[in-house]
Amino acid sequence: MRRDEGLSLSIRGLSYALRDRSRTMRQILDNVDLSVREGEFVSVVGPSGCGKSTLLNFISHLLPVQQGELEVLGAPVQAFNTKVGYVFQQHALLPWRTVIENTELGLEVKGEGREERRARCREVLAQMGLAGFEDHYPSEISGGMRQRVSLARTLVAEPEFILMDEPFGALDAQTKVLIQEIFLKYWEQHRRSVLFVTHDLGEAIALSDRVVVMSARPGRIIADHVIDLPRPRNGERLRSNPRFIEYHDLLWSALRDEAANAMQVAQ
Amino acid sequence: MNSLSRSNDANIIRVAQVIVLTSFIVLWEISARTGLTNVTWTSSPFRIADNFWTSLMSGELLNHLRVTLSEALAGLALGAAVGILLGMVLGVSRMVGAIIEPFIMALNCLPRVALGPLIVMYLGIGFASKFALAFSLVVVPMMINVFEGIRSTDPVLVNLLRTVGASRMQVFFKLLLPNCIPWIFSALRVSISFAMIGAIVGEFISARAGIGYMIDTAAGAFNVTGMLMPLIVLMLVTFTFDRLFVMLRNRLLHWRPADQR
Repeated sequence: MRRDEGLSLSIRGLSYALRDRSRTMRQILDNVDLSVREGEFVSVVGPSGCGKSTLLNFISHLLPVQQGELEVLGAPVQAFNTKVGYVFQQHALLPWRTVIENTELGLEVKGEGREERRARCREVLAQMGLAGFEDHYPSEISGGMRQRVSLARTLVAEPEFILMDEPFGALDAQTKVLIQEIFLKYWEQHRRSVLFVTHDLGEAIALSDRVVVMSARPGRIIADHVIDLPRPRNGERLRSNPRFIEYHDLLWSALRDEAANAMQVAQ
Repeated sequence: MNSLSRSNDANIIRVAQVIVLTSFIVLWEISARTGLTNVTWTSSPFRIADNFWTSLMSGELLNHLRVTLSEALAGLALGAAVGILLGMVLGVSRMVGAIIEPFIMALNCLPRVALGPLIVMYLGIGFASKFALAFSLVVVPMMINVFEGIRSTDPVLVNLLRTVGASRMQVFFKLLLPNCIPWIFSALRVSISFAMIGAIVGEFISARAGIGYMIDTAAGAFNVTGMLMPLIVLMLVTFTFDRLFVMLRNRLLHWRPADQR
């Protein structure tokens, strides 16, 4: 199924420190090594504030690399790469654009012709279950629908590598499960490389080929497990699978101490 | 609240407004006719209407109105254009914005109508001085509003545009500019009355025509009716512009829910 075994992401020794408000240097990321193979779905879980999102900002070029090596799709990151898609935690829709106008933003910026991009957007929106809502404004649709538009906007540009920053974090439990399923189905058809940041362990296991655990700040990789569950997966049945529960226990034992640490740091 | 009771509310509001306005006018007229108030000091609606009709028919009123409006609207147009442009430059360039910000705020604290005599000294008593005064009143609030509008842009949206590969120009036209539109309109609504103030104050200082000149002349003759009539006309004209701006804004912001425009 994979086209080849190339690397979509290769990070070696990435560290990042930031001067905080009291002017002391704080280490955010500490010597992170991480790679994503082409067509692989990798999740990063970790306690809040561990630098998961910061990691995505480096990969997308929103933050310049301070220390370490970073290669995306086989080349060092020197500019914004339209082959890399980014799904933000907030839906990040432009409120004055309709659903379809938001979806076509990336293609429009690239200068693709209107008729062609509209046709492609309609197709992806339909796959996201949004047919018939093309001309609605973001204020007229639900939170779950907005997040699906945001997904469609990224997917329609056909990125080779997708970064996702807790994209379903703000949704209620039922909506979240439904959108995960829509996305999973899409992903299992297309198999793009994904780096998925979340604090939801169940979500990470259900979606991923591999789950990586990050420590509390400063963020380090402390566990890395292959999730060997058959695809296509079904979210609901998966959660009662004994292997799912095993993975959950295994990863939770790595995560629990870090979560406790993060809470103490926060207090 | 459902739409039925909302449109019902709108009707109640309209009716109440008509009642307030008519009872104000009627009470004013009655108190003038019964001698409760002295028409020499407070005139009466009938006298004002009569004065309006005479002045309108003789063409005098429209002549003066045309002078004042051209001063104010020219000042508004150039002030808005320059203000929007400056606000955008300051908002987009962090460095320039940070350097110039205190100067702008200090300028904003200057009571600019007090520049009137100076401007008349420089530019004479014709069109130019009134135009310049209106411009000076308009340009700063426009600039500040647009500046705030640019700075209020959600940084997540800026990041989004950058990650899809947008150029600086694309970020500006697809994000910063549309994001500013509500700010531009609230600035325009404030600015239309500022522009009128600028033109009128300029005419007070020295002029040969205009609504301010009409008021000043009537004041010299102790003619309260002659002062109130052009004042009310100017108020209604300015109010009409305000409503036009609101309509235009609602049209441009049709994507917002009606109660957030």
